[in-house]
Amino acid sequence: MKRFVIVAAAVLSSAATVSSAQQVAASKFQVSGIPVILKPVTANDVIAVRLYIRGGSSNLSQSNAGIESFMLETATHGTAKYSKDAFNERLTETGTSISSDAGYDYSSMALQGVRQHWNEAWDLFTEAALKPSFPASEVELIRAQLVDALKRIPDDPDSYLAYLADSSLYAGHKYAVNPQGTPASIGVITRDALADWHKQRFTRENLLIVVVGNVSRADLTQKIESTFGRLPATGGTAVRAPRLAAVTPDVMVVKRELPTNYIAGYFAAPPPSDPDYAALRVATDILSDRLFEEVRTKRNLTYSVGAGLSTRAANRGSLYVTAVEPDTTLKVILTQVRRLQREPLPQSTLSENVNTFLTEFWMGQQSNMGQAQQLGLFELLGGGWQNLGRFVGAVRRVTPADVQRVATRYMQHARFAVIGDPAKIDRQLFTSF
Amino acid sequence: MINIGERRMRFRFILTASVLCAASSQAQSDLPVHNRQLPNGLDVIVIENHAVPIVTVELDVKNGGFTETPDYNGLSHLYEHMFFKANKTIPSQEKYLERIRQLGANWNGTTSEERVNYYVTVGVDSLIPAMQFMEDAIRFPLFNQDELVRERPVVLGEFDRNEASPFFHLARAVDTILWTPGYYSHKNVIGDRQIIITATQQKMNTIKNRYYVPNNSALILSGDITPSRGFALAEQVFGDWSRGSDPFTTPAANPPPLTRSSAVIVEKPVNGAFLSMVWQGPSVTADPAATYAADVLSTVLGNPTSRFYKRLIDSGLTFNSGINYYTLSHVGPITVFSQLAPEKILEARRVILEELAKLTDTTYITARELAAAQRQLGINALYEREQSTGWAHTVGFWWAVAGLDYYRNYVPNMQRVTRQDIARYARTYIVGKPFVTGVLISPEDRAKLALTPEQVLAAGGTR
Repeated sequence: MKRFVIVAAAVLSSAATVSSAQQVAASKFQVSGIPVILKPVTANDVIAVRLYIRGGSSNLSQSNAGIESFMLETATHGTAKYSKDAFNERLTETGTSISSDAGYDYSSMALQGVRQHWNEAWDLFTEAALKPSFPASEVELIRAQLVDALKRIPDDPDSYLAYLADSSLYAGHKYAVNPQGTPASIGVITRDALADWHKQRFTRENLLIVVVGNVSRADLTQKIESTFGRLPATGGTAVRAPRLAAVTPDVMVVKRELPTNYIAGYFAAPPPSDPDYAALRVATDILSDRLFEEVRTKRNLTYSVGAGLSTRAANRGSLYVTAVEPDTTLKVILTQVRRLQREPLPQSTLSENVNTFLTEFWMGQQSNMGQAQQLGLFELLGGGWQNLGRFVGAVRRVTPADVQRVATRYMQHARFAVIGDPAKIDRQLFTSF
Repeated sequence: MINIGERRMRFRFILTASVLCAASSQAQSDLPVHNRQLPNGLDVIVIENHAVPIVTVELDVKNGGFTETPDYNGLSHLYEHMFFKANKTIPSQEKYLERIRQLGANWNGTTSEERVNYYVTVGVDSLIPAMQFMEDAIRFPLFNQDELVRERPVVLGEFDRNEASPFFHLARAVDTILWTPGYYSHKNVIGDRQIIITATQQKMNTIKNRYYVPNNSALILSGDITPSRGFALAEQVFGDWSRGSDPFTTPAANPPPLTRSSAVIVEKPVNGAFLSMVWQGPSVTADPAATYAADVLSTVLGNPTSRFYKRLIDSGLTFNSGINYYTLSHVGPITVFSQLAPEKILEARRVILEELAKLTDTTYITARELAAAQRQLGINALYEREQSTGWAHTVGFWWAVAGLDYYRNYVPNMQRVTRQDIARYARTYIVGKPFVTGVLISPEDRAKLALTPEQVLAAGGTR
C-alpha cells in the first residue's frame, strides 16, 4: 500500500491525469462555444488530438446505420484543398496519422503528430474534418471495403461472438443499430447523403476537442477559432442512449465445427458516471482474477477466461470463456459469481486489487494518445474529465460490502452467445444466470 | 501466450520493426537505452522513462521454435507456461498468483520463433520484490509433475483457439511447404499436440539447463528507473546466477532453401478470400543490409501513394494488400497478402507478380517516396518510445533476434538505404525466386470457380 500513497496524492491534487514527471494539470475551456480539454506535455514531442462528435447509435436508424463511420472513413480521401494523393503525401512526409472510429455513444477523429510538424498536421486534420469533398470514386471504393469488412465479421470467432452477444443484449435498444452499419445499409448510402450527414453532425454544440502534447492554449485557441469555430452553433442535436431496461436471460447458439466453444454472457451495468461504477469495476476485476485461478489454474478447463466491464452510456458487463466442456465450465464460473455475491471479501483482496488497478491505470497513461482517450471518455460518459483523476480515489474507497452489493445487483440476467456445438449447451443452465 | 498462429501476428512484429527503426541518425545517440553485461554473461538493459511511476521487469531468452526438433515441438511454449508455476520460493501456481496480486503486477509471457519473454509491470516501490520474483521463476522452477499434467490442457486450449481461426490453417499450410516438412518444427511455435500431451519433467529440465542460463538471457528494466540503479539492482539480484554452457556452440540450423514454387488452397467457411504469397527472406545475422532495405520497402509500398497500393487497392482489385518482411536470425519470411473477392484471386496474383518484378528497376520507387518513408519511420519511433512497457518487449525482441547493436544502429542504417539497395534486396530474395502461394476460400466459392492449385500457379507464373 505504501508505494502508491505519493502517486495517489499527485492524482488527487491535480484532479487530472498527471504523471510523476509532468505535474501539469489538464484544463477545460470553451473556444467559440466548443468545449476544449488541453493537457500540456513538454516531456516529448508527440501531440495527440481527439475530436469527438456526440451521438453515436442514438442518432442512427437501421436504414442509415454506418453513415457516420462511412463519412469519417471517406474524409481523408480528398478535401477542398488536397487531392487524396496530395493529402497522403503530406501525411507521410510529416509522420502524421489521422484515424477515425464510430461508436455507440460518439464518433471520433484522432490526430497523432509531432511538434515539429504541428501546423501542417493541424491543417490536414481540419481539412479532413471540415472540408471533405467525398469524391464519387472514393465513396465507391470505401463502400466496397466497408461491406467486405462487415461480411468478414463471422470469420473471426471472437469478433463474431461480441457481435452476437451485443445484438442479443441490445435488441430493441438504441444500440441495436450497429454504428458500423450492415452490408445492406452501407450498400445504399449515397454520396449526397454523406455530405448532408456531415453538415448535420458537424455543429459546435456536438463537438468536444481533447489535446495532449506540447501545445500552448493561445495557439490551440487560435487554431480552433479559425476552423471549428466557424461551424454552425447548433443543429443535429445529439441524443444520449437510455440505460438498458430489464434484461431477460437468454442464450443464442450458433453452430460451427470448431475445436472449442466460444462463450460470452453480457449483462446490464451502470455507466462510468454512476456512483456504482467504481465498485463494479473492482468486483469485475476480482471476479476475473478468481475465474483465472478457479477455471484455468485449478481445473484447467480453458486457456482464456475472464470478466469485463465496458464504458458505454447504456453499459454492459461481460463473462467470457472458450471451453471444450461449456456446461462444466459455466458452472464453475457461476459458482464464482455467487461466491462474490455472498461471501464478504477480505480487506487484503481489495488492497491487492487497488495496487493492480493503479499499475494498469498508469500503463494506460503512458502515451499522450492514451491520456487524451481517457480524458475524452470521462468528459463524455464519466461525469466530467476531472473524474478521471478522482477515479483512483473512488476505487480506493470501495468496501467489501460495496462489492457484494453491486455484484448482486448487476451480475445477473445475462444474454449469452455461443459459437460451437449446440449439443453441448444446457439452455436451462445458461439462462439461470 | 504465443506470438504466432495467425500471419497477422507476424505483421505486428514487422510493424514494430519498422517503428523501431526510426528518428534521425543523430537521435540514436540520445536513445535512453543503456546496457551492460554482468560477469555471468547476463545482458542487462535499462530503458529510462520517468513519465509514469511504473517499471517493467522483463526477461528474454534465446529459445523458441528455432531450437525445436520434432520431439520437442511446442515445448518452448509449454515451458513458458510452466514459468508461472511453482519454484523453490513459491510452492504452487495458486501462491504464484497470490504473489502477483500482492505486487499489483500486470504480467504475461510470450513465445515466438527465436525469443521467449516474461514480464511484470509494477509500481516503482515494488521493483525489488518484482525482480526477486522473476529471479526465482527463471532460476528455480520445480516443474511439478501434477502441475505439468494440469497445464497440458491449458496449452491445448490455446491450440484449440488457434485452430478456430481460418487464418491459422492458411499459415500452417503455407509454412509447412515454405520451410519444408523436415524443418517445419523450427518455425511451428505452437507445436505438436502429441508432444505437448507427452511432455515430461525431464524435457523441461533439458530446456532449462540448455537455454535458461544467464549467458543466453537478457534482463530489461524499463520505466521510472535510472541506469545506475538498474545495473546495481541487477547485479544484486541476478549476480550469483551461474553461467552455463553456450547453447549455440553448434549454431541452430537454417531452413533448406526452397527449390520450387507451389500453391496450396485451404478451404474454410470464410467470407471473401485471402491470398498469401511467401518467400524465404534474409537472415538478419547473415545479410543485415537486406533487412533494412526490406523494412523501408514494406513502408514505401504500404503508403497509399505507392504504385503498388494504387494498382492493388485503389483499382478495386483487392480490399487490402501489403508486403512485409519478418526479421529473424534464421531466415525470415517475406509475405505479400491480399484480402479480396474470390473471383479476383488469379488476377490479383498476376498483378502482384508484375509489380514485384518492377522492384529491380531502381526508378520504380521515386526518390521522394523513399525519403518520405524514411522520415515517416523516424517519426514513428517517437510514438513507440512513449510507452516504456511496450518498448521493453520490442527491445527484447531485437536483442534476441539481431543483437542490441543492430537495434541501436537501425535508424542510421535504415536511413542510408538507397533505391539500389532495394533493387538488390528484390533481386536476391523475391524476383525470380521460388515462393509459396496460399489461398483461403470457402468450399462453395472454390467449387464455383473450380479453383485448382495449378490454376493459381499459372496466374502470373512461378517466379
